[in-house]
Amino acid sequence: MIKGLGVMVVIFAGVCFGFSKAAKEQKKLEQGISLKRMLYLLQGEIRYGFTPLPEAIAIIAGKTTKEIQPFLLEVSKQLESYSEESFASVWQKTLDEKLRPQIMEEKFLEPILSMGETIGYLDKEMQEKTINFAIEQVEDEIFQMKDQVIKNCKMYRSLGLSFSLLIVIILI
Amino acid sequence: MKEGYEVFQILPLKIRDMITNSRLDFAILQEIRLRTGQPVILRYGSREYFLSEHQGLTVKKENVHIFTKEELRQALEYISSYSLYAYEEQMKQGYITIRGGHRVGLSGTVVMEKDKIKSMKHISCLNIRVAHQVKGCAAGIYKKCSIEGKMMPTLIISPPGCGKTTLLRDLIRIISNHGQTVGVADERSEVGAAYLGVPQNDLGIRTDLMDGCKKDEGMNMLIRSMAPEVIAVDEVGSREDVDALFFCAYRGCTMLATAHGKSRDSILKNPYMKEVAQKKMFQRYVLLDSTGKPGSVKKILDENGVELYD
Repeated sequence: MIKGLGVMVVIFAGVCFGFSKAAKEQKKLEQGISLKRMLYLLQGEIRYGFTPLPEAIAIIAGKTTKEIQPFLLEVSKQLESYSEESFASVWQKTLDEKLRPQIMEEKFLEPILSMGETIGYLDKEMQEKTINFAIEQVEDEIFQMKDQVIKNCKMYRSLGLSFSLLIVIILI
Repeated sequence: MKEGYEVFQILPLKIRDMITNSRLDFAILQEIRLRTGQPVILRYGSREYFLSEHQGLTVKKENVHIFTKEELRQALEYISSYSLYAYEEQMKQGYITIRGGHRVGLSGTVVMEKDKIKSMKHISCLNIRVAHQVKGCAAGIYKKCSIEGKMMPTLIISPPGCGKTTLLRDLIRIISNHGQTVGVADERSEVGAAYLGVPQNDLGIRTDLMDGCKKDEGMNMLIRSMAPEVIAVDEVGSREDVDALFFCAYRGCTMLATAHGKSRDSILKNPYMKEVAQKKMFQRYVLLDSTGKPGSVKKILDENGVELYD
């Protein structure tokens, strides 16, 4: 009876471990999609309302996920205080402090960071092109990651079960 | 919130500190002129001062702070809220209105495309004109230009920098608080100084603001959408403005406007404004004194150009 219960617990723990690793992999992809959505929202604010960056960033903060929201709110707050010399320095500092610890895949941050160096400069068309370029780069990363993430998810789920069964066999 | 903080916020960090340390009275600060490679000049009260490196304002040219290219770049970042694209249309007209309704004039190299101004580059000079809200400054004008609590069609005339917009803003507030619905077509965001659509200046409890819209289109939109009793507009003078004034006046609105000029006669030299005067659209002309304090009234004329006395 106790042996049976032990077997069940080991198998359950193994499966849970596999599923949690798979969920983490899935999360990487979801974060990429959230960043892409954030860029689309920013593009919309600029295209539709010619909204200046501090306002636009504050507005879109309310429509983004909880990993991205603190970063956007902090950028907007810093910009509104007019205490930094340039937009790029505010964007970079805040990204390092608030967004980098939240985003699991570093590759998604590179296009966001380089967008911050050029946005705000010249006319509306230039802003749209800059954001579009960042969106394309994030999309590329998502596309490249997608198959790998699906494979990894399957692998982690089956490995979780297999390892737990192996442990059960060894222990019995 | 500290008065005038919007003006200080757009200054480069070093100049901001220097001005803050000089403990200026914002109420009498008129303008700040920033030219690359030249001293910073402030019009404070009726006098002109330089910004000294060590001791606040000075009239001497020694040890004055010279405005640098890097400071200009910084100032432009702040003036445009790090977003020059958002002010494309305003820049074509040579200015940007910042929060608080203060106007920043720009000069540099104009980029033309097909005989039209496309944008401005190599900006080298800035003129920050400080807007003031002086509550009650138009009370005397309201008394003379209203009858039984209803405002009469009024045109405020003065050269630039004499307080037209300040008077107009206060007149709107008084009219609105006395019971008439006022629609304001605020093309340059100077009257209401709207932020996220909400006027930052007190325009009274019955005022609707159409912000950032061309004057003529703004007036037409207000007529259709907000049914105002009084329509207020700053700096009229073009064909389109005058057409819109007639459009609104024929629909029963009382017009309240300002125009650049030294006298009623100088206004008549503008063919469009001449038509306005001949058709007696305005029953009161308020002329401001360019030699006295900003906002001081020289005289008030009736629709025939006859001066009104107390």
